[in-house]
This record gives sequence, structure tokens and C-alpha cells, in this order.
Amino acid sequence: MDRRISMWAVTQDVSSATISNIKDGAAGQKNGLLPTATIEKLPDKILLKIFSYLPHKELSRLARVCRKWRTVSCDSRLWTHVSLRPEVSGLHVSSIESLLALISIRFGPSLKYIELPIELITHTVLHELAYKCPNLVQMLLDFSTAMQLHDFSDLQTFPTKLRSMCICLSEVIFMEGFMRKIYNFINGLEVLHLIGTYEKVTEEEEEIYEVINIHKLKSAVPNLRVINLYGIVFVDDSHVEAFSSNCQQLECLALNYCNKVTGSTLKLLFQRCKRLRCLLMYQTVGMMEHAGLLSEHVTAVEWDKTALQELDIGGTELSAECLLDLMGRLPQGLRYLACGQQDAFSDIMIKELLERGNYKSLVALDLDRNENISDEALLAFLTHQGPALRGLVLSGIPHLTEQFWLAVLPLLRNVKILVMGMGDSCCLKIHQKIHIDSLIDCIANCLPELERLEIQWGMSTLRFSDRSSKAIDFIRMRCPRLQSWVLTDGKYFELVKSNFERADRKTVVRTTTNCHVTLVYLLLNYRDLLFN
Amino acid sequence: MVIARLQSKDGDIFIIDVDVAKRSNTLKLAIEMSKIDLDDDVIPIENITSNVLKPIIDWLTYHKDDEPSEPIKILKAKPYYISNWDKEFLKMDLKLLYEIMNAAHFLDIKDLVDLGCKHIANIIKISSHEELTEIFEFEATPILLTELEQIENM
Repeated sequence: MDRRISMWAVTQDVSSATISNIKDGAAGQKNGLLPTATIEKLPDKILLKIFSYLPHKELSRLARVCRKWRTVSCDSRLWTHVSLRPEVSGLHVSSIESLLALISIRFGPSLKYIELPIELITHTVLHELAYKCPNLVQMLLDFSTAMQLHDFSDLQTFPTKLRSMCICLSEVIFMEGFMRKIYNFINGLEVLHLIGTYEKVTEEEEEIYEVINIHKLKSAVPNLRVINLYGIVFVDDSHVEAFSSNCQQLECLALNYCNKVTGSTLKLLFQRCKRLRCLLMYQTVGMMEHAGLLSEHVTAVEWDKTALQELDIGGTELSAECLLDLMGRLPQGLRYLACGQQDAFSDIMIKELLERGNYKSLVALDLDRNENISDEALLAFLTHQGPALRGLVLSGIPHLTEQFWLAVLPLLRNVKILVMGMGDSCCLKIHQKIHIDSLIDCIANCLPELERLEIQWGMSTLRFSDRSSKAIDFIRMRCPRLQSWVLTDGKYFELVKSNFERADRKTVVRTTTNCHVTLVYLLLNYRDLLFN
Repeated sequence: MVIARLQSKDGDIFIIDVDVAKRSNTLKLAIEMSKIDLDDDVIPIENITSNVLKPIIDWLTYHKDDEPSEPIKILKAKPYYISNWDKEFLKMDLKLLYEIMNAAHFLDIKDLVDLGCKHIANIIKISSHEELTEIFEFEATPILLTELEQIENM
């Protein structure tokens, strides 16, 4: 009790002292009590930290404010990760000459990561990077907009310490002239991204060019741990085979949106690459004359003998037999299963999982749009595994309504990522209305770890009221880690958005038009798989 | 609750929870390494005045249950977020903020230094060149263009 009294006394003393200081400015100044500091007196270390919160564009401007700022803004520690692609908010460099100056004056040995657009990928730039930036370990070369490759016949050297490289391919430019020159320098690569032009593909028949020679490339990169081939129209089974023949260390292979892959070399892949723990084949689905991933090839793989921990076969067209067989033979260590958009996926697959007991390591499950699963089967599964899950996607299933979720949410206490609901645009109409407030209340109560949430129900399904703000307040307070909440555009979205904006959390709420929540954050190689 | 007594430069004594005090790495070290008897001794902080120490203690007390943040690497700029309480806290004269940041730097309270840095970075972002000179009270020193700048200005 005594202590509390003395604490009060002191606090009051101090605050009155402070007040008198503020009132009596002149006297305070004499005693040295009033602050006299200026920004120029802050230690360089702090100024450096302030600058580290500013984009490179801004730093170039600040360099002209005063001498000290100039020195600090040039500090090479601020220039370790540099993007020179203005379209992804990188720095705009107008000419090769100014880039060369930047490389020698700003970047130097501290540069670790650089993104170069096609205009700036020339042999002189690469020479300079090789000589002046010995610590460059990661590089992105964007050829996607290229109409013509620069002349690389004079390219004699290339950064040798690269650990990770990303090449954005163009549809029409053959890379061999460039690649031939760099094969000798990239033996140390552990992570390789080849980004195709899937998004640009139109329905029209267009000629497909094999713009990069993977059969040659694979010989140069024996140490790859992570290969990400994203939306490359010409990649097929022979390319998967090629990598498997030379990359013993392979841990993670992503073939998302590579439509020519049928899976015929998957068996061989697992036999050769014993360390492969992650295989992502989202949307390797048939398109035009290509078959897409074939059930018979999937069935041929000896799944139970693999070290696989993460598998994504979402959006492929596998048969019921194949899926049932696969569920029965999934390896014990499987922690990530994305098996959405499979019309053939039904209750018997869930039963098979439960019977075999090979689901026990599962932390992430994606069954998006598998309309043929019943709520009973899901409830049975989640009763077993729900508490272990950190990510769950059960969107696009019409009969999973409020009632289902109110029963299931208490089982999901460790979930960080959750996707639910069904958009209005889907063909099947939902007859039942969803009362969003009780659902939000329940999420706030049950999921303290929640980081990402997507609710796809649209305005014709959602019911909300004046009390909705209260529920939104509640989830905002109870789920402090919530950093992304995706909703269908409409009145409810506006309500949630303005609520979070008032609380100064402007970036949290987004619409399904620009943004979707996925489980990829839970992948072990998530950081390696990031590109762009 | 175990308490610690902190004495400012002007001699005022602040009594705070020792766990709050230990969020300052400098104080933590002082408390753990030296033989300060928390029941009797005061911890003198000779270079920080009461008007600076008081808000720092307020801030530490409010944030006492925060998880320590991950070390921020100097990376390319990323979006950042300042809570409402911190927004209110930052409503002060910039000069006082500099003092607080200097003191927080000395006391090694990383999160408080970071907060000040974010705030100032925000001000810089929305200010024009002229405003910068005014806000930060620079003396107008003309800068000679170096070769690099000439290139950059092209």
C-alpha cells in the first residue's frame, strides 16, 4: 500500500514538473530541460533506420536535401535489395550509364538482390555486377516484354555466387544465345524460377516456342533444391525427367499451370530424387490438345515410399479411382494437401484417409469446390484432425453453411488461414441465408491465431444488421494477427473496410476481385518459392 | 510486483515494474549484471531528463505485454502499421520526439526507436522538398552536383 502511495506521489510530482516546464519555456531552456535536439543531431544509425522505411525512389530525392542526408542515403546498407522494374514499384533508371554508376557507387559489395528489366540486361551491366558485387546471391532477369535480345556475344563473365535466379521468359525470344554464355557461372544455383507466359495465352491457336533449352540448362545446375516452372506452355514430362536426372538435391518442384505435363515421369522423379518433399501441380489441367495430368501416371507413383510432405493437385482432372488410391497411399509425413476442384473427390476419399490414419501430420488442407463431400464426412475428419490444422480451405461447397461452420470452428483453434463461403457467381445457388455476425463472433472466439481469412459469400447470401459493427470490432480486437481479410465486393465489404480503416489498419480488408487467400504461406519452401 | 526506481537527470524518481524496465536492454543489463538492490537503490539515468523519461515509461508500460518484434533487416521498403495508441503518443513536438528517440536509442528500446523512425519516414514521404527544409529546420546548404547526381538528374 505504501508503495502505491509513493508511486502516485512521484508521478504527480513529475507531471506537475513537466507541466511547469512546458509553461515556463524560457526558464526550462536555461536549465536544459526543454528539448533542443534537431533531426541533424540524431545518430546516423537512427537516420539510416528512418531511411530504411523509405523506397529507393524517395531516397534519390532525399539525397538532394542536405549533405548529411546525401551521405546516409548512399549508405550501401540501404541498397542490398534493389528492383529496377518501375512497374513493380522499383527504381526507374533511365540509362545503362546511370545504372553502371549506381553499381559502382551505391551497390558495391553490399548488393545481395537485384531485379533487372530487359532494357538493362546487357553484357556491360552483367560484367559490372560480376566484378563489383561479389555478394550478389539472388537475381531476377525479366525478359517477358522482350521483342529482341541484346547481343551477348561479348559476355565473358557473370555473377558467380548466385544462389537463386528467376528468369521471366518471353513467348518468342530464344534464350539460348544468353544461356550458353552463363551456364559456366551458375553451377551454385539452389533455387531456379522460370516464369512462363501462361497469363498471356489467348484461346487462339498460337505457335508455341521452346524458348529455353531445359535439357541443356539442367546440366549446368546440379545443386538445385527448388525448381519453380510457372505457367510455361512448352514444359512437358521430358523436362521433368531432365531435371530429375541431374538434381539429386531436389526438395521442391512446382509445375503450376504447366499444361503439357501429364505426369508420365513422376514415378521416375520420385525414384531419383529421394529428398523431394514438395510437389505442386496446381492447374496442370488439359487445355486444347494437351491432356493434362493423367490418372494412370499418378497411380503409377509409389507414393507411400516417398518422403513427400506437401502435395498440390488442385484443379487437375483425376478419376475417382485414382484419388481413392492416392488417399490410401499418401505417405505418413504428409503435412500439406491441396486437392481442390476435383469433381470426383467425395466422402469415400475422406473415409479412406481416416481409415488409413495417414493424415496425422496434416496441417494444411485445401478442398476448394469439392461439392461432392458431405458435411458429415468433413465434420468427422475435422473432429480428428481439426485441432492440428493451421490452414483450411473449404470454399465453393454450397451446403457448408453457417450451421456447419458454427459446429466446426471450435475444432480449429490453431488455424491461421481460413477460406469459406461460396461466391454468387457460381452456378449453384445457395438457398439458405448466412447470418454473418454470429459466424464472425464465433471466428473471433475460436481462432485467436487467425492471420488470413476469406469469406466468399456474396451480397445475395449474406445477412447482416446494425449489430454487424459490433462483431467486426470484436474480431478486430480478438484476432490481432489478422493481416488479410478478403470479402466479396458489396455493402458488407464496405462496412468491414471502413471499420478497419477507422482503426488505422488500412491494408487488411480487400475484395475477391483483386485478392485470394491460399495456403501457400504454410509451405516449408514458401520463401524460396516467392518470385516477382 | 517487483519494482525499480529510475532517477532522471533532474533528480525525479520514477517507480516502475521491473519487467517494464527490462524491456530496455540497457536497463536489463544494468539490473542483471550489477548488484543493484531493487528494494533500496535507485538507478540513475544521468543523461535523460524527466520530460523525456516520462513518455518513454508511459510507452513501455503500455507495450509491456507486446511480443518483441523480429529484428528488422534493412530491406526494401515495406508497408508498416502504427497503432492508434502509438499515433496518439506521437502527437508531440518533433524536437521532443528526437530527444525521445535519442534516449530510446541509449536505453536500447528497439521498438520505440523503430516507431519514431516509421513516423518520421511517413512525414518525409508526404512532404515536398521545401516542406522538408522547413519541418526539419535545415540550414539551406547548397549542394554541389556531383557527377553521379548529374547522371541521375538527366
